[in-house]
Amino acid sequence: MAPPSVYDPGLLEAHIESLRKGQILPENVVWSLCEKAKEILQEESNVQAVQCPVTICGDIHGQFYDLLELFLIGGDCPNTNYLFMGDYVDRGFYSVEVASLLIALKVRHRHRITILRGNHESRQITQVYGFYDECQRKYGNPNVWKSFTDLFDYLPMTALVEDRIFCLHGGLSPSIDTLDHARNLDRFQEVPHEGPMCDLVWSDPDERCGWGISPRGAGYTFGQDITEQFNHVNGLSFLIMEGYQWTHKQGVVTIFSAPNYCYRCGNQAALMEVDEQFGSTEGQDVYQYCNFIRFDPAPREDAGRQGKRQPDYFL
Amino acid sequence: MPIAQVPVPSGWQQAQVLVPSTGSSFCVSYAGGNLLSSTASGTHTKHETAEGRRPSGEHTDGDLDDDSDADANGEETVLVFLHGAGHTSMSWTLPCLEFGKLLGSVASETLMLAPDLPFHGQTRVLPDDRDMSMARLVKELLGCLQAWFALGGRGRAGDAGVGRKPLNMVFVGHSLGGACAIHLARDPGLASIGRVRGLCVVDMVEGAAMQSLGHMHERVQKVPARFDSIEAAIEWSVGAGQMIRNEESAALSVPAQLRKLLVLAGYSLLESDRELCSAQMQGAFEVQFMQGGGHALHEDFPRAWARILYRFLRWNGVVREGGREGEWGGGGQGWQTRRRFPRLPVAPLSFPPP
Repeated sequence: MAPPSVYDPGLLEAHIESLRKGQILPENVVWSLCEKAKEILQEESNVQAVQCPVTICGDIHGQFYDLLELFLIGGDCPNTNYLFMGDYVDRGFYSVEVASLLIALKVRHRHRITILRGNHESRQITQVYGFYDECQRKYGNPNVWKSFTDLFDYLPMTALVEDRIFCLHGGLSPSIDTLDHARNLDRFQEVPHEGPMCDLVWSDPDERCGWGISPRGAGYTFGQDITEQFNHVNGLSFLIMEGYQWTHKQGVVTIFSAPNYCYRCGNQAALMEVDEQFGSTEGQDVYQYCNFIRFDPAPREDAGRQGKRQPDYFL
Repeated sequence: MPIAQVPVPSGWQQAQVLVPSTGSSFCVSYAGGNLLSSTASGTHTKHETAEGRRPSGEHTDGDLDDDSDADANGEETVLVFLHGAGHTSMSWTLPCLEFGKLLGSVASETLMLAPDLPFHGQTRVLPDDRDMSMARLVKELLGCLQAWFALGGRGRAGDAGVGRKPLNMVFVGHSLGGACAIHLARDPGLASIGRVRGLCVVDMVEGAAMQSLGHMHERVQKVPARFDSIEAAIEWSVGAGQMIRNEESAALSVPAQLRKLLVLAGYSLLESDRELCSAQMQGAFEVQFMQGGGHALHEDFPRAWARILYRFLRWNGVVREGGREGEWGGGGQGWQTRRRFPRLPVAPLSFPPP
């Protein structure tokens, strides 16, 4: 008899269980999980439709124990539907665990969890900000990094909740006027250095009107006028992207889900629950069905800060 | 007595700038304007190299008389380069020559100034009381810049008052020079000179620097009191654990509109500073990483560093296109058809962070 496939629900549950305990999966299991996830993600639209109720989360950045905390606060998957908006890896110490768990959950409960692409889901960025090094350290070779980054090319760039809330990691692009433009993007590639796909993960809302050059060095800044135009043309209530505040007269909300960012910023994290009533609500009433929850870092995350090395040359 | 007679690299000149109010004397290396373009045509190269690095004293300027081009157009942008502790203005010569190549035709309207910092190189400040506080360094540097532009932009006596104000100012600082650049860029005294448009800091993270302060004394003590030859000094400076890892370079150098660029040797540096980390998350500035280098990144990888600086200035519209972008693979992915915003023909070397 052939050994049970990795997609076997029982085996998959066992993998998820061990991941939740903080254990990493064997290299070949990660590979086959990624292959299966590719099949699932390939079917998804670049503007993936999501139904409410759903809980929307921002950056995780390798803070695995804070992700577990997030599931404790927001409810476990699949009992709560989740939408993650990118930046799962880099900066934190447990990018492998975070990426593995989210991918495993995606394969197990594909309709219960939606994972979008952030600017850190890229080969180039992960080599600078730590994910590559972490894979190398935990597996002794970069194969797992390769499996994950190949998979990242398949992640959808944006999601649309009940045809009303446009969710994405970065922001709007001067090249994208309508959701159909976003749908038609060929996303199955490394995030380019410029163009609409780059803008979707790099742009930011700004107090100034119109389009501006982003101080980040990629993407653009866009003003309230741009937001209003985009929301009007596409019949949207508002946009959600990573960060954490309302801007543009409640035309944009940004959500950031990594508490005590980089283990030193001391910030609270947030997630946003969109109620099931949302779909049947109009106008200003929609906001009362959006519930923000803040949370603090999981206690044990502080342990990770030991043994930091400074470059020997530094004066 | 000058410490060592190191030839000024081709394309560069040096001037002594006297600050009238304090009597301090700055040694300023400068390039750009029509100097770079005439160097490219080969007319000045030999002469300047032979002239060597001038010791303090009267600045003779025979070869400056034919820079009528720059005088006619004026410099539109001035870049001020501030070296790190223990370096001199020569630290910038190689990377800035690479930068000048990228500027192409725009080089004639871009002036590069690299003063020796107070208590470094051939700069002498008065009173020489070893007051190396940041306030003092900034005050002296501001005096130097004001004197330079009061003298007509070339440091020449007799040109007082005819200097054109640069449209844009950009400060570029390495390490200690980066700290000076940050303080200078926000000094109201600059308003009489020009508008500060950009600030680029190379490998300077306050959090990391504070952690390293403990090693400073030990490090200074390890510097030999004298070297038997220039070669021995160069060999020491590129040796194990030293800051410069590129021999060629070592041989040369033993508000909302303000755009900021931070160039770092590695991500762990950035992480060590809470304010930087959260400002970066909020997209307040651009960060570029150059891995595999030491502390003096611009000296280790002059060409790559020049590209990063050039891209930063082009991206933010501080310098115009000079027609050389194509050389290093500018342009996009070729799939953009309906971009409304003017497209920049430059490609980033690596992504900046969120």
